[in-house]
Amino acid sequence: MNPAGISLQSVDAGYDHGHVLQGLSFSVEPGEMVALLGRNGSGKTTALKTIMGILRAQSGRIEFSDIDITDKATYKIAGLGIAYVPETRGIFASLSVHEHLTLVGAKSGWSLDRIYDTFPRLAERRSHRGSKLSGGEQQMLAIARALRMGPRLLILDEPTEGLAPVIVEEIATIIEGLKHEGMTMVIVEQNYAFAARIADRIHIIGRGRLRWSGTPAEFDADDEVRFTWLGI
Amino acid sequence: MMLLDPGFLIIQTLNGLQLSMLLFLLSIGLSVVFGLMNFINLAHGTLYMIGAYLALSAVRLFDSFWIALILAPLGVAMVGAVLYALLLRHLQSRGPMSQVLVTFGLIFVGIDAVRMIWGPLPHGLPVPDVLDGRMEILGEVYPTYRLFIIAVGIVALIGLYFGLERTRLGAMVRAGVDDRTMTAALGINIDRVFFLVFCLGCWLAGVAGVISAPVFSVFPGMDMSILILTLIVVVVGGPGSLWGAAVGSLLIGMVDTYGQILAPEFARATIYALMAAILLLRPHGLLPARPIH
Ligand SMILES: Nc1ncnc2c1ncn2[C@@H]1O[C@H](COP(=O)(O)OP(=O)(O)OP(=O)(O)O)[C@@H](O)[C@H]1O
Ligand SMILES: [Mg+2]
Repeated sequence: MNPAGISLQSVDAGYDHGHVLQGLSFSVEPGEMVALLGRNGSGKTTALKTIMGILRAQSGRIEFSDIDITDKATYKIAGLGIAYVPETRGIFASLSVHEHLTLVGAKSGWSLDRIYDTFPRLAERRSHRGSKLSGGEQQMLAIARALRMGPRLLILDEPTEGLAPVIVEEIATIIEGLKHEGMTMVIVEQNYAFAARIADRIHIIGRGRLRWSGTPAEFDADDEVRFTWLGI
Repeated sequence: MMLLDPGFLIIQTLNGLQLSMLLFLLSIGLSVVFGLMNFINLAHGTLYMIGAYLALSAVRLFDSFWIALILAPLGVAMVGAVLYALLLRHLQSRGPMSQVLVTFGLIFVGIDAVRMIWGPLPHGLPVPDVLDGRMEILGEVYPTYRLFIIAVGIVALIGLYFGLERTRLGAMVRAGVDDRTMTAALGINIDRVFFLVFCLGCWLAGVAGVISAPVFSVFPGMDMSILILTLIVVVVGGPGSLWGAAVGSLLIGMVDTYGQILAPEFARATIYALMAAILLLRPHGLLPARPIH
């Protein structure tokens, strides 16, 4: 693995009705695991979509591994080594589990054997179509598919949302395993305890800007920041 | 009552099947392209007409229907590729209205172009010798060449099924129809996939044009009536899906054929009424390629 860092510099982006991100800046070092936290609607998903080129930055600059990716097409950004597991999971209804995993497949990515060893549920369901999978299976498939790409940066948007505790544990184990291998990761989480447990650094987004940044220990200690920007 | 006569039923069903297969060859390209990119190409029928005219020239040059069947669809695919590169590519982000207007304009450009090149009079194309006979089928005699058209449609359906369900490119196409953004986020250049599918669709329209030339006459504007039926098939079947195009073609081909015989004055009205009824009950068509959520 050859992890790479990413940085956003004063990025403005949003939808038709106006900017959601208003000068958002943050960075992630190679091999670092960053948790992006923030209230509902603060712009976390919007930031991830803008990194992927799904939304266009109206101003500012995004650099991945020292390459300017601000105006690149989504497929080129993915090709540079960023894998994205969206909030909606992005599972294809008409593709089988196996097809999801063979659609992409970089030399540097996980082999099919390794995927099926790590995700035995997917092995059982390899010929099932995406539309027939449970939420937990869809989430695992979305992560497995991302790992097939051999990413240098893995982006996960609320990977544990709405899943049963057993499955959350399974996914947590996999994410911790990736962290030990040194994968650069950006993870958006509503489960703050979980985020504080696995992250190296926490960035808090509020109304489209970076409001706070620090280690999980600092985050635990700072009641005011948690109350102001997360309401807890 | 005609409908109770088995001979009549067999012949008309075969006629309906023949129209269905031509409609399938035409609608599948249009349907997948629409499902993939929400792109509407009203000039798809023009490519069918060009296929028939290119076949005419190829037969004059090489004196062989079979060489025409190989060359003309390739020519049509090339016309499609050039059209895409010069014009259609720029319409993709423009929304349906400009697509409809520009490709509708192309229909008339196409008709004028073939009139200038091949003249205004209708032409015929002889049936190839090996297929120029009749065969007995279920006790009825039926022209061999028409059975050949049905066979081509069936072969295309099977080939497309395997291409779409069993190859990586096919999986990319289905992924793109389900969720274009996610497909791109996997590093797949969806525009290139789209271009390949578009050219394949043009090629199939060319095949339909060549094989229908010996049955229908070849004239400027021959694309109009079949284009309308093709659009109805896409809407009724549900854009983006192979089975939708197949079932839609079968339905419309049969209803049109029987309608023309049983109630010629109402045949087209019946089809529009059927389309309206299906869309009321199933707004996305009979068998749409449906994403999750
Ligand atoms: N497709 C869209 N079109 C228009 N506005 C949108 C769209 N998606 C999100 N928004 C708006 O943009 C703002 C930021 O949304 P975003 O999804 O980035 O928030 P988030 O931090 O990911 O929230 P959550 O925790 O609920 O996932 C919100 O006000 C939201 O209503
Ligand atoms: Mg979100």
